[in-house]
Amino acid sequence: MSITIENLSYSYVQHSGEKIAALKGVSCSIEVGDFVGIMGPTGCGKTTLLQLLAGLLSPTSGHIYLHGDDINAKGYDRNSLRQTIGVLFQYPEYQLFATTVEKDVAFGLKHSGLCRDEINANVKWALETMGFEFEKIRHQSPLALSGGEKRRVAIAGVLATKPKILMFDEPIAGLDPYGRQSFLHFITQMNQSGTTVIMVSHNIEALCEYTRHLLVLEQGKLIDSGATRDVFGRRKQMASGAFGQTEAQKIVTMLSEGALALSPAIVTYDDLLSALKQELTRGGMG
Amino acid sequence: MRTLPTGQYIPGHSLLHKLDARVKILCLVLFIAAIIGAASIWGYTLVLVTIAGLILLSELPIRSVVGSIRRMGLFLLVIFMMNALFFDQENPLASWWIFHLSSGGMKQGFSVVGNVVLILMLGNLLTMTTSPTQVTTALESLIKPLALIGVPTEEVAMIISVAIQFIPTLMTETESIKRAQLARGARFESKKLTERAASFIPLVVPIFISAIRRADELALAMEARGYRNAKNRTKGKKEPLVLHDYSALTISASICLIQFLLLR
Amino acid sequence: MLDPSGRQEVIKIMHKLHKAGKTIIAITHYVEEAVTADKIILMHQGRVLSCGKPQAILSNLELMEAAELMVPMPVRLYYDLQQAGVHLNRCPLTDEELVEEICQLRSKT
Repeated sequence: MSITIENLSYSYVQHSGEKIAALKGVSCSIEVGDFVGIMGPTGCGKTTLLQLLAGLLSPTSGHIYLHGDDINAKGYDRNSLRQTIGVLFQYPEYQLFATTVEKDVAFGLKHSGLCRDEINANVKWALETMGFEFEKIRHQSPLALSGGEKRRVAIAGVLATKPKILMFDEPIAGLDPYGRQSFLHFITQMNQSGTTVIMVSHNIEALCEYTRHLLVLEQGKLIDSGATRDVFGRRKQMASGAFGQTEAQKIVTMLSEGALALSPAIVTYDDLLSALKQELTRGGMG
Repeated sequence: MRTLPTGQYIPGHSLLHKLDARVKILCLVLFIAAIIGAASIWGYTLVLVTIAGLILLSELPIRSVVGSIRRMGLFLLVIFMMNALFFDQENPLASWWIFHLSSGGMKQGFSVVGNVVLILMLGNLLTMTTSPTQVTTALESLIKPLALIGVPTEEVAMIISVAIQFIPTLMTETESIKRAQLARGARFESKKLTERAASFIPLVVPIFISAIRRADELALAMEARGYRNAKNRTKGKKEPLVLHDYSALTISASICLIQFLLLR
Repeated sequence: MLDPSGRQEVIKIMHKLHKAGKTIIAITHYVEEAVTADKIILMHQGRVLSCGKPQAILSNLELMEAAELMVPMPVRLYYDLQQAGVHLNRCPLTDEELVEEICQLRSKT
């Protein structure tokens, strides 16, 4: 299920009458099984792009091809799109509504065409993947759970359709450090088992450590794309105020002002650590 | 992204915009009475002409005033059918099972739907020419007399004011929950009525919970800031009524009176 | 919730108010924000684990682990370098302090 975007634009009219161009002529492609990050300052169009990719919005112009088929063409099977793509928005726990966890998770499978048994099996699998004991959790009210549990149930709800593509909009917002780590670890696992993952995030470190490719948006335009490392390398070469530098990169910049020049190819924490080890143990220091 | 949600305040300088909000609310009440009291063709004409005049005075595009009525189409149809089919069991034009279509019923149906449409338009005129703050200040002042019989008017006014202020926030939240449920396969725009009705719950339940959660948070914040009984709150500016306010009140009252005279 | 630049703005305002003489109590799980505090109260599951200056608390690996928090990156680097035989003078809490320490070490040769 590769995704190709061709000259995608989206604009809308606000109720003040003003026309807003949220996305301007974006073109790129995402390979099957990739882990792609979408990065950019607030208002750059990241969420709009995600919604367009998920088929929740119709583009003003341009095309989105899923495995070669235009998802906005007449007659395209929207229902199968919903089953193939799983989208998780910010604070997904706020979408819970059903009387039992089981029913909420099964919601997405209503139009899947699967039989009762298959639906139950999917629900069980999704909840267990999220670390729940199926029999214990299934009849509980989703609204009576703790914040973290609610989030995991909401994610299970998206996983239940066994989507081939998972899209996340700021998935780690509001999570404490270990929560962030365990979530990112989880989606890495999903990616490793073949699911294509697309993640919109503000968190530079998360994007740097987990994604393989990046799309950088600014004011609705795609200003850079490519392998994560390369993109961060290029971001660094821009004016020093450029959005999207990792902490390791910032430290390298500061060190160069203090007359210690490290390689500009340093992007991640591990890069920095090995470079510093090399530099500082030369000549038997320390 | 929605275009103009109907009924929303549109700033302007028309005569209707300048009228005191309390006067507008009172006139609305008088007009509603006039509409319900309209018993003859003359009564209706009077009201229709007045409303047309008001729309002109407001300098608002007719499209926006009438807009929300379109969306109520299904609801209005149901009201009409309920009247047409159940009103008169005695002399039906056609019958089937428990449904009895009658001419009396259809007339009644038209009349009720007509009233609803007119009242909606007036309501729109009010909300479109009056900012939410003006409306709430006006309501506060209008319900003051009820304090004499022990109604906690300040609290009631605050409740109304907070509720109105939360409307945009909750609307944004509805959009975002709708999007999330759509992504999970909810069918909001389905042709099948049953599917649309079923999609209602995944939207309404989260919104309710969200509203309650926000109310909780707001209450906590207000308490932290020392809110007690609003006895010492600073009040908004009170401007005295002007000539056009008094004339508006007089005209509305007369129209109302005329309707009741016509009833005889 | 706020994006990074939004958060920075709020933090700036907190510092401004602090300079103007207000007492600030901030609750956070973002360790980077706690670095600039005069005092940190570390809590875990309803109990206070520790109370003290940022230097003492944020560089204490066991304590931070018990609180289920991650140490700031400079602290992590300090300990990882130590393991590789590189000893910085003191444990830096911010990027600036880290750079300072590294440059100091470098200049010793």
